[in-house]
Amino acid sequence: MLALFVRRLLWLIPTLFAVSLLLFGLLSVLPDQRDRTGDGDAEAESRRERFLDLPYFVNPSPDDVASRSARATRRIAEGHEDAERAARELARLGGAALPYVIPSLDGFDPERRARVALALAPVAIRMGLPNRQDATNPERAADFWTRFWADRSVEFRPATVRTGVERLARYRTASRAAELAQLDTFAVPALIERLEPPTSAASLEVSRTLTEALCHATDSGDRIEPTADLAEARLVVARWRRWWLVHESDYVVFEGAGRATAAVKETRYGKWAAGVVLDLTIREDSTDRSLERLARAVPITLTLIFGGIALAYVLGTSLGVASALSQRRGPKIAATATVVTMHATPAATMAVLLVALSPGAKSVGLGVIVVGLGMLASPARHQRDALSSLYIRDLVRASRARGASLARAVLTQGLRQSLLATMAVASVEPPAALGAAFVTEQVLGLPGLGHLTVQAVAERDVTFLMGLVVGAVLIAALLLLVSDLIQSSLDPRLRGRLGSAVR
Amino acid sequence: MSGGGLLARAGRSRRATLGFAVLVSLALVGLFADVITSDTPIARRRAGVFELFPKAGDAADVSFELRAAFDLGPSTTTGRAFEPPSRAHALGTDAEGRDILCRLVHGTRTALGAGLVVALLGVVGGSVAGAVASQYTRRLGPTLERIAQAVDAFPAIIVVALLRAMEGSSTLSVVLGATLVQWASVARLVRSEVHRLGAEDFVLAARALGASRFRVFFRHLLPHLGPSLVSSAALGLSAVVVLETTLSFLGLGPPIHQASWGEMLAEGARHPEHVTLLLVPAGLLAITVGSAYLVAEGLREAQDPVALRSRAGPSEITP
Repeated sequence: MLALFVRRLLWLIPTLFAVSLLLFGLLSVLPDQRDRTGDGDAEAESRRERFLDLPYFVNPSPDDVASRSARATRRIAEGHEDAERAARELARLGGAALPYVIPSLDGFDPERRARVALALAPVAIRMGLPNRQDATNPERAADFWTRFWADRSVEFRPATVRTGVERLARYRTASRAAELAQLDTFAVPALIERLEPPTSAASLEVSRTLTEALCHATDSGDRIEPTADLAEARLVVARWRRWWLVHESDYVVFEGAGRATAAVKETRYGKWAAGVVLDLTIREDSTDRSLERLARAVPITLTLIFGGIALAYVLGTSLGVASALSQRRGPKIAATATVVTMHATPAATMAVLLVALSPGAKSVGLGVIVVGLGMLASPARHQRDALSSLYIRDLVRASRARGASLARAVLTQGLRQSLLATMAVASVEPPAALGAAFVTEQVLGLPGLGHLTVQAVAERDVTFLMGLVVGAVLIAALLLLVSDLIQSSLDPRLRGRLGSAVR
Repeated sequence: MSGGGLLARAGRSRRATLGFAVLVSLALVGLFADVITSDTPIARRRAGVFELFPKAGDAADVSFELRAAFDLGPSTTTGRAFEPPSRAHALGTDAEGRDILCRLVHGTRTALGAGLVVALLGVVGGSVAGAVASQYTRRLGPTLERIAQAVDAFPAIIVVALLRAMEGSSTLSVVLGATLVQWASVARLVRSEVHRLGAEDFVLAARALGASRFRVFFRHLLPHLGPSLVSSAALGLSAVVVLETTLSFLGLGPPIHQASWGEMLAEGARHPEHVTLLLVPAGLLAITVGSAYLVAEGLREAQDPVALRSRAGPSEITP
């Protein structure tokens, strides 16, 4: 039993993976709606934010800070036509590139060495190094950096940086900030790692200090203002996380196991999947579809769906039993007609009519009734059919032969078996009930998922909708599992079959 | 018994015939919506050139013109809102003064059009997938079954909403999204039916005579699947019609210049004091769904002689 459960749960992983692949495929096929503005750097940045320069699934040679800085250095040294852009790139890479650029200076002749060293001048200024005017002097720049590296290369180690960031977070003094600024972008990975969405006034201060350091190193302006409240601060942190998803490879070198991971992570699919997960976890009050709103909307919709299904199955099976037991034709036809009418009446009409009948009762309970009535047909039909199915007849006939009344025979012998068959159908109902639930919410003015979905479509919030699809699939898979478990506990013969069906 | 015999038996089922007839006439109404009611001529001869469904334009030099039975388009406004039924407007007008009957006719085209396309695509795609899954039982079959099971759990409405957000055009996203979900249930049905039939004597006999796997499938199994496929197509059609109505009710439907039952329902819900606005499209929707249900039910009973005999219930089986 447990093995079956675990195996089923494990099957969720490939299922989810397949779903995500499908969605990713659709997204890649469909044209991007964003228009192209700007040129050069802006265009490149926009392409980068959409991961268009990455391969789809496997990246055998992921770009990292080492390869990026080597490329930029070469261009600057050779006086390539792109040299100016390469210099900007090198300045952006900053401190994280120094461990690769400065040692490579020795390999160049004096002229080229001077060019590269000069391109690093903005970094020296940003770092606030003493004698930084030397870095802008073509004759002294190369010597300046060689000396700098001889003195300071010990500090360019992950462990040192992490200690520095930890101290900055703890003491938050200007001298600590200046110390960290001298490591420039080399400290960015550690800063991002330490940066967490603030939950209290104290952690707000920590986040502010850390983002301040990040802004300084990356020339960004996305800081937490002194007047910002917790929500705004969390928004800033969320934006930094998103930024890191796009720009991680500018500041990190992929080595060893990291390189293997990067081969998968630094791809369109990898970035997209990570972005979706990130979007869903850090989604804050930025949109109307924040986690908080979701937490309020999901219970309403789930109540409508599962309440409706429960109601439909209680009423429907009773109707089915009554219809199967009834000896006369009239009630049978009446039951079928009721069920078909309920099935065919649109949820909207039913909701409006029910509201008109009971004015002022716009509640979730009413919504459950609307959803439930619309779903009567399937349980009623299944229950009726199951009760009159062949297998059950032998049992019933035997029971009748022993002297039981028809009703007693059917109820005692047939009900359990037929309920089993009916319940098996219940687990596939939720997807179908969702539409009715959305409509009911709209008519009754309930703040459920339907409203959020319509909003999301209007605002083209694909991530949110994707999250909904995945969530729905997860719920459906769990339901299927639960229904299988219930069935096999009711009917021991199913156990072997279920086990083999999974294999 | 052959597939033809089954369909013939289904034809004797009055309920199935009635449902089928209603669905066909609704489809015809949808197909000829522009002939029944339109504000542009159906055909005309202008300056010696014969034009079919011309764009409205200058009416000079028109020597011959054939107009629709009702001279109203789905978004033609008469300027008088909430008019009661009259000779000019058989069902009255809505909040914006548009003729309800005309919008109903054009809504039929939107609903049934999407429904028929999806039902067909779903049955074809699902049959192929189901057939493949049932023939390759080693690896491919179970994997396909898994995929179909997962896809079957997709809520169509959210898939369509997702496509709508990514792509924009509504009719296409309804068809695409619904088909994406629809094929799965058909595939599972075909697979289980083929498995069930595979143990029947006639299949064993065919196999014993040396028929190939594919000959058995196409000659002996496929004809028996006909009624199940038709009934699942009918149910799929009604599910898509409901889906389309739901979407346009929520405001995710087709563009404004197309009429849709869901949009009409939404208007009815906004103006509960004018009951016809709500009841007329609801009635038509109910007729469509009910007919599909009757077709499916009739075919199912025709397939299952036991159920046919026991329509009277367990009383018959008691000694």
